[in-house]
Amino acid sequence: MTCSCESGHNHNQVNPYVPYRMKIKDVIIENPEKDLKTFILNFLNPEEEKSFTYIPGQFAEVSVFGVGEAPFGIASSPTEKGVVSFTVKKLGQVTSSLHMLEKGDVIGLRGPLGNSWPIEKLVNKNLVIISGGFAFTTLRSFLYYALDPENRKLFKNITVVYGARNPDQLLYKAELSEWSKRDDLDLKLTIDRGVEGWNGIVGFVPAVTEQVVKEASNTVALVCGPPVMIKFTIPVLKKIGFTPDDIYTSLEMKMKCGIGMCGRCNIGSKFVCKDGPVFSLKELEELPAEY
Amino acid sequence: MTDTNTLSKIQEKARRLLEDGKVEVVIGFAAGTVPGKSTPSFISAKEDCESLVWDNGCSLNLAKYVLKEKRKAAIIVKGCDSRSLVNLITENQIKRENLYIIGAACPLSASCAGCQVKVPVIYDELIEDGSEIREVSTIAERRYDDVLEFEKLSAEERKAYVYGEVSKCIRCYACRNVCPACYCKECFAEKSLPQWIGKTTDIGDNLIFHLIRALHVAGRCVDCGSCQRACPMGVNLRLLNHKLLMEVGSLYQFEAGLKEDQILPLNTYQYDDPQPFLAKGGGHE
Amino acid sequence: MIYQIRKDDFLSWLKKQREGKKVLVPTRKEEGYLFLPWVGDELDLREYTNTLKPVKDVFFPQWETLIRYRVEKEKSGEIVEETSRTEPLILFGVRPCDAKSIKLLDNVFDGEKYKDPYYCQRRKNTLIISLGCRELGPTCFCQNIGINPLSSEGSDILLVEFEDRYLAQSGSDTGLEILEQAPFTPAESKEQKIFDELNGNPARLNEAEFRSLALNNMPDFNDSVWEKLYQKCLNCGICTYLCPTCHCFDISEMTLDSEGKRVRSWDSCMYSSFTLHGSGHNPRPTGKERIRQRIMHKFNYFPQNYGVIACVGCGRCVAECPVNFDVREALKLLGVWKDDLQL
Repeated sequence: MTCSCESGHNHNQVNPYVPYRMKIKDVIIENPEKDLKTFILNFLNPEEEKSFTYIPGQFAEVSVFGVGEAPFGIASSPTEKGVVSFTVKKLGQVTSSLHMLEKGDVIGLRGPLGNSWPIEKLVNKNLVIISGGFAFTTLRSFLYYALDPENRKLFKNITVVYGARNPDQLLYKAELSEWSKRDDLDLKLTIDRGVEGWNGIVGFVPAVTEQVVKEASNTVALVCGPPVMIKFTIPVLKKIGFTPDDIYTSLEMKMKCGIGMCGRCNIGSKFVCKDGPVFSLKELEELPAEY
Repeated sequence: MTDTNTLSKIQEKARRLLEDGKVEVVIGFAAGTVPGKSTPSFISAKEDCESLVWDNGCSLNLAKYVLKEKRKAAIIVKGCDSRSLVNLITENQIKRENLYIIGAACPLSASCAGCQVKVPVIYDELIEDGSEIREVSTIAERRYDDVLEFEKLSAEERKAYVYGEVSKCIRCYACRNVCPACYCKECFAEKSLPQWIGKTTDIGDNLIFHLIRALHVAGRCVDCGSCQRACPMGVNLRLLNHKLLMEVGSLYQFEAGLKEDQILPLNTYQYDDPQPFLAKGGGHE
Repeated sequence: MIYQIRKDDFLSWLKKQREGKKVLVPTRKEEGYLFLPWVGDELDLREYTNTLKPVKDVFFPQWETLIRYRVEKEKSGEIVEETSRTEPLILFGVRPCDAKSIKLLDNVFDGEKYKDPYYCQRRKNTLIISLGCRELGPTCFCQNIGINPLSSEGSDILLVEFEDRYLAQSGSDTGLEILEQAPFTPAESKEQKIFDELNGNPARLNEAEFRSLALNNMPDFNDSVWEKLYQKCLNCGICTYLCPTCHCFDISEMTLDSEGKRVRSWDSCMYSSFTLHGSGHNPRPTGKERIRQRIMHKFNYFPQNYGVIACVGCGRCVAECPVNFDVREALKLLGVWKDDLQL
């Protein structure tokens, strides 16, 4: 069977293994080490763009043709029309090849996959968004979405605690700077150890969370960061009064198919690709700690 | 050959080692659940020593387990297992002093064709059963009948045979995982940066896997046959092993795992190493 | 309703099917029986207990190309071909355990949300004629876990050898349609009775009973019993590759000149690379976690997700394990194998 992608049907409906073709519109280097880059992508086929609808928190399998596929959380927001973006840390085979690509190159995308941040549950709630390092991506997607004039009224106070090793490792610096000026968002940026030129907060994310977040009633926390950050943040949130039902996190696992078949991303009976990647702490506490 | 006398001596020795606190675990064999297969057993309580067996089913090379054993251990070995231990010691993978070796003659009734090292070459205690102990330094020039027969075939026939054998492979890596000489932390077969071979069972991928596997154990293989016994698809893995044993034997007058002071020829550079694959034999002037 | 057919009539019928379809039969090879295209006119089923490789291989082959694409810069990712699998196939001689395994795999590959088109196409185009087991092989344990060796579950047609005939039962509408026509004939009440008698020795344990044991009695995730279990396992992939229900796979790329292939191949939870993250972190770093995963997946997670145990008792893992890791012993140690059932 020859592919009829020229005629514009949506492959994903028929064959979940066939990727969309995406053109790299722009590559943004996020840190001086140049091992964190954001890839802004356009659909080569505009018809496919229309059928690609997603919710913040979902991920996609991104492929470098001839090299392989890897899963990444979608960093763009559905309210940003015409683009899909991903922030990628150079680590393994696929990410290293991605980092060698430039504007105009074509890559593959399968998705959107997985569940999302629990938007419906967040409506009319105060939100506490806690993140560390380059795990900020899908929370950036959510924040951008929530700050959209159409959506902002859906949520009450939004507090963000976002930390990195040093100021250079904070993602989306220009955007953070814009957001810090907003009065409908309480943005707390922190770095692990003080450096010259940094006038902001110094301290690890859990400690800063403890200082900043005072109230758990009618509040939901979205947490995404390195395992050690999550490990120490959860007790802090519980101490403040958050119940496991009101703490959400997004997990990372090695994935291949992204559709619950290939069998490697399970934690207990749950598949991170299909049942996650977003889980409430309550759900996680019922699963074995194998992640 | 199930010799009850040998077995009771083995059990007694194991019991004593555990009792005296000399070791925390004894690695041996217990009765299996499938006819003809005894199963590796890790005994840490002296009363369990009665479950040890020493019979026709004890064909696996137990030296593999020493690599991941963290406790102070005793291991019950036959000839080839002991040779693998010699290799692991000389390759600095294990420490001789951390291991108590109980040696006993190979209990297999149908031993491997041409095997001349049924009695362990290294041990702390040898369970004597009257088996003849050969002078092991004389076997380097061994010929393997399967290789000699194979070499008589035409190039086409040899290719067809090898292709036929490796195409059966399902890439379960049992040959690699049972082999005491295969202990790379990251095997080329699974390496991804860069990827060395494809993950399919296409003839090309399978061929490369088998050739590299054989070459990686060249000069280190002790011909225990565990790889071939483990293979569920009946791939004739030993043919390639035997060929390389013959090559190493004739080039370096060497066979691995016979002496504790061995210098593995393919792990060591010597100025006058034979290099017949180079133009004019790579002779040094 | 039971049907019957004389063995030689069946052979002629099956031969005739080769005109439009590929017919795979258990074929004796040096290493064991394998499902291979039927050549010649006879079936050699002497000493046939089961095939060495499970029947999943037909629907979910060891490796296959998912898509082909171009890799030149300006055409990168242009799909050249999505492979389809439309060749009609007849599988003869599938054992009931393996037929059941395909039903189990349907849960995974033909799910509500996602369907694997390659698997589904092959399923649609394949007729499964199974051959009931009058005698069990030395490592078979289907009856111990609630599976009837004369069940038609998962087959289109089940055949049971009886003297010079096969007694036949349909397992699907397609199977029934075939049985309702010549050369198959409805069985007389005598044969019907014989079939029932043969079937009078079904599973010794009810599947639901075993499932409930596996779901409720499995030791805690951190129980020390898992330490005991894994010691002798050398983490090869035999048990997973020869398992009719194991279905984990890898996706990788192969490139030659201007064309790339995205390839799916069997993978195994026994390998450390299976769950190794790009960062170097591995949630299942040792054999202990991997053995636990394999057992829990089959006997606990799968039934949680799909309501059925992912083991059919074919015994291949027991027969072929190089270190004689016996899943029955493991289940016994874990307390989910009923003690009165002897190994």
